[in-house]
Amino acid sequence: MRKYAYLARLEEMLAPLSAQELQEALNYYEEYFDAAGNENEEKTAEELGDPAKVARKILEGEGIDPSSQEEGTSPAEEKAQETAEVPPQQEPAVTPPAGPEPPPVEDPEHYSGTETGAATKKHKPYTKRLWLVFWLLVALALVVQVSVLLLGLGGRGGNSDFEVAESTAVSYQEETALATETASVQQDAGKIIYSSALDTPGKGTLFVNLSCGNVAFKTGDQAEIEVSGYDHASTVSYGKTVDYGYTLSCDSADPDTHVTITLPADAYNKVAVSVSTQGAIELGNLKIREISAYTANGSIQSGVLRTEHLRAATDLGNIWLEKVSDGVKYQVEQVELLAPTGYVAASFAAAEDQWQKEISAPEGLEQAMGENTESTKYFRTLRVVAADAVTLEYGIT
Amino acid sequence: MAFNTGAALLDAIVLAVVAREEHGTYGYKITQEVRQVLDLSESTLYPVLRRLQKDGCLTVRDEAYNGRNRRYYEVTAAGRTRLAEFRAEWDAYTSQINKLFKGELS
Repeated sequence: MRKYAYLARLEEMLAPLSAQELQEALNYYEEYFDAAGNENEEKTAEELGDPAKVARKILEGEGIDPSSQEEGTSPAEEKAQETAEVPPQQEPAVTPPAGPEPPPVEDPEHYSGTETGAATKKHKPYTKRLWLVFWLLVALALVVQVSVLLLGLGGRGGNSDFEVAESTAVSYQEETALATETASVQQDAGKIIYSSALDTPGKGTLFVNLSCGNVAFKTGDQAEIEVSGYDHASTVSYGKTVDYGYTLSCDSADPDTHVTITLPADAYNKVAVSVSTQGAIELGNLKIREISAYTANGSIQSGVLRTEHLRAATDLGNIWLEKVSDGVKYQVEQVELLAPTGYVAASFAAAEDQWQKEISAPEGLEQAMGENTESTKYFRTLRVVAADAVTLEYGIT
Repeated sequence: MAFNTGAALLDAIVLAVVAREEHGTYGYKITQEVRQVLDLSESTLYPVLRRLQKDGCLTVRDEAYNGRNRRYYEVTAAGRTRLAEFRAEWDAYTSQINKLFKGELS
């Protein structure tokens, strides 16, 4: 098994861990592979042992009972857990059937649209259950967010981001949604006017161009898009670009348009979102090598992003990123956060001394000192422009 | 080997290996050095390092190495105290067992 296949397998098995614990563990094993040398990947994987067993030990160490995650496994697998002497190939439930090793989902060399579907079906029962729990949580979070939004709209002032929304859409809100604060997302944000599965070529760029409205990204096995609002489906178009990429456009002028895009990890090489008049962008926990997000008026926020190049820009709004960290196959190299009229808050997994910084804020221009004698010391660049406070944290694990 | 290496002994061994390096050492190197004295087949030290870190026996720092991150582990004062305790216990334990094996125990 090669390095990335091993790491992808490990990542899959370590799903019960928190994002932070998962990243730490993956960092350790990736570093281990790197230290052992690129030419020894197979041998190193053998030395480390079956990723399923390694994952089990890690889960035990973190106080998670691995057996509770594996209720659906066969008796043979449980036996293998108890007796360490059993050779690793006797693990039918965890290891796919004999024959050539299936290409892991995250392996770019084997990644293609058709194989994605096949790989998805290979998920273990407990993984499915975890996804179910995950989606329930996501749905819950959405309901909470929408009710907060509604309360904001119902109140007098409203937040500047949503003032336009209030003036143009409040009549709909009063009729339909205000009465039931915790009603389902679809009812609150109008109706679903468009929904479709997305291709996941594993390369190319997904362009998402909105004239007006909010965009939210979710991570999930099935790539899909859902547009809700009060406008007509004809405002939405989806098509292929020349180089494996896709373009999704929404010309609706309705500020309540809400585009939700679900993507598996590395579904594309790049995701480029642009909102040309007004709307917020929620990047979620995207795992995409290159991410570019622009909105003319609205905030940009994210959960834990795993990326190499990130550019977030808002002409009128704030940027708030929970965490920017390395992916399995790439490390964060370049981050640009531009909020010339707002604030920027972000945390980074990498330690501060790995960043070459250029920060333009009211307090003045802060630049990394020129004592960059060790050329390897800085291998990530960070550029920030903000009008209000800039809050940056480093080495957040 | 007929004898198992339990969690406590593994902790002690890893602490001893890390303690040899004044400025800390990293995962791969620790593993290789432990392998010199112990058969570590099908075993990984990551959970051990995590445990010692959580117990405050080790601290970590990340350093760039060849454009990549490398995590260095260093023994804390608490870790050194723990290691000294382990050594004392080990001495007492082995001397008793040795006496028994050599027929010195009556």
